[in-house]
Amino acid sequence: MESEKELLESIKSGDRQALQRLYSRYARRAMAVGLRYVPQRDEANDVLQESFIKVFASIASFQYRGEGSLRGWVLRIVANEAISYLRQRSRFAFVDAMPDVPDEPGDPDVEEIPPSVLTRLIGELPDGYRVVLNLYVFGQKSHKQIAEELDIKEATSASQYLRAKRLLARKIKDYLNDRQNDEQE
Amino acid sequence: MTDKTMSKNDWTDKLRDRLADYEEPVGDDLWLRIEQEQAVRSGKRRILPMWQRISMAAAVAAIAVGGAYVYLAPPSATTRVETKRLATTSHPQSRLLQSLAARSLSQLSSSPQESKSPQGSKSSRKTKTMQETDLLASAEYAAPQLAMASIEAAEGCPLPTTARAAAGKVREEEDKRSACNISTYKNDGNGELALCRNSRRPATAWSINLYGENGGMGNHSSASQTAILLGSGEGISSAEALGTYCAKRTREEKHHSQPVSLGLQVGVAISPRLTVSTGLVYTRAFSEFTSTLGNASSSTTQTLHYVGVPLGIGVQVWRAGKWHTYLATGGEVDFNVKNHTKCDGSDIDASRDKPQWSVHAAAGLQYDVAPQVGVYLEPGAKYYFDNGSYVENIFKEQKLNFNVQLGARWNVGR
Repeated sequence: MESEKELLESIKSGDRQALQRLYSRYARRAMAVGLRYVPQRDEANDVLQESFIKVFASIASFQYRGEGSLRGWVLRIVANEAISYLRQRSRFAFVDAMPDVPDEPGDPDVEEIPPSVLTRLIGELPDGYRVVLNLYVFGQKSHKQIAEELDIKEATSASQYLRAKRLLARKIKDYLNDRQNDEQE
Repeated sequence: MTDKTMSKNDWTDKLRDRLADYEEPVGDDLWLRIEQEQAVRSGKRRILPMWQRISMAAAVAAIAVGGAYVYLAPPSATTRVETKRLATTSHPQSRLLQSLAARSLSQLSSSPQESKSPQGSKSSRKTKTMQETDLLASAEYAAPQLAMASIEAAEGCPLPTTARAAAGKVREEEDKRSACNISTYKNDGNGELALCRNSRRPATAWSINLYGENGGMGNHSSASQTAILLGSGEGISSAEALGTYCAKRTREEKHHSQPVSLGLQVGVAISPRLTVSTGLVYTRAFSEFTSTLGNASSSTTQTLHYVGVPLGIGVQVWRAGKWHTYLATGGEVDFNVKNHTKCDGSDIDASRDKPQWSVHAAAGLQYDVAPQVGVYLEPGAKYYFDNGSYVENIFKEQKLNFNVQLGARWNVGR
């Protein structure tokens, strides 16, 4: 398989097939990211469509910084586009009205959960929780950066993240318990 | 909420690692959607202003017509006279013919002279003086009708009525013949007479026709049950969002009306039966798309306006009095100068179609209501080539289109 650098050179030289190779290489990964933000597949399709159009439109100005930089850039565009999508549809709700989830002892056994289930469980979180969790855990941004990006208070970002983490942990444990019960039956 | 310093070194790191390389399947149609949308947006950026498109079309038409005129321009007043063979008949007007023939000779300064005798070899060495002598002799003995035709052409001025009538008859006889330069002409009771004939091209005839055209196969409708791609968003408030909303809905029913055209063409006769024409034509193509989602429905109307340049050739097949029939064929390129699309009554920004190429063939029937004006009916067929754009229209849905053209033709220069 060609390297990212070779792929970029092909794209910048005007090879339109190279754009399709770029899409084929990162579309499935991008869909996984998109579904974490926008769990409904139809909406995720919309997000990916818009994301790749933006990738193609601005790839000429992309600065290559080593193998993997292109993938990281594409996935950031997907994440940003997903957040914009949620903003446009006014689906952000950073409310603390939900009952506080108690902190349970022990960490959930994430490695026992299939990735597809983890993605689904993240998708079941409320919008605000889900976005902050994604930006903090997968985007590796600080609460200050998250607050600036989402136009919320830093404390709100921290609060949303804590609630998201606890709720996700409970969902994972519930899933494992249900699976164990099913196996015993 | 418990104030707590959260460490990043917890199970969420494992969560991140678990999903680091995770991939989800992607539908096959997503790439197609991306390509379509990209083509739409790219098409917007490449659009030429309308005045540039019209200017291009007018320039092509002017070049085609102007080039045809330059190529087919009638010859100068000086005509060539070719003597093929001498005859031995005499006529009372021989002296007049001799003097006029002498004047004709004075105009033949640059025209080559060909002269042959029935016997052959000696004629090849005739000097110009001898050729002039031959010409005077032929003028003395030429049949009056032929001489009159030659003289009138040389002089460029009309002869008396009777002579003109005779000359007109000769011209009519000449027109009946094919493209060969040599013809024989029966003289009364005196055997064959070689024709002292002007070799000239027929006068260029122009025509201008104004016409309207409509498809004759009715409208085209189709329905589809493809998956709905509508997002479940809410709160759409801007025209742009509305357009995006409408664009994402699947068009379940399509209704394309037959295109209607209005054209102005200029034709040049390159032979008595053959005409080449070009001009400008305006075409309007209307489509309606209706989609239904549950109890809600959305209606989108699309009106495409094209300006095109046709290029055609016509062959007259039959003529009887004021009626004549012909066959026509040619091609056309149409430029989409405007795409007016509305979704649920609101204008949305829609991209224009790419240039649309087509070829056509037709049979026409014309009736001359006046010597230079005729009305015609021209049923035919048109085939539209796929231009690769994603603008849905009748040209893509129904590539082969039967149509009827109705118009008026004004013949200039006959």
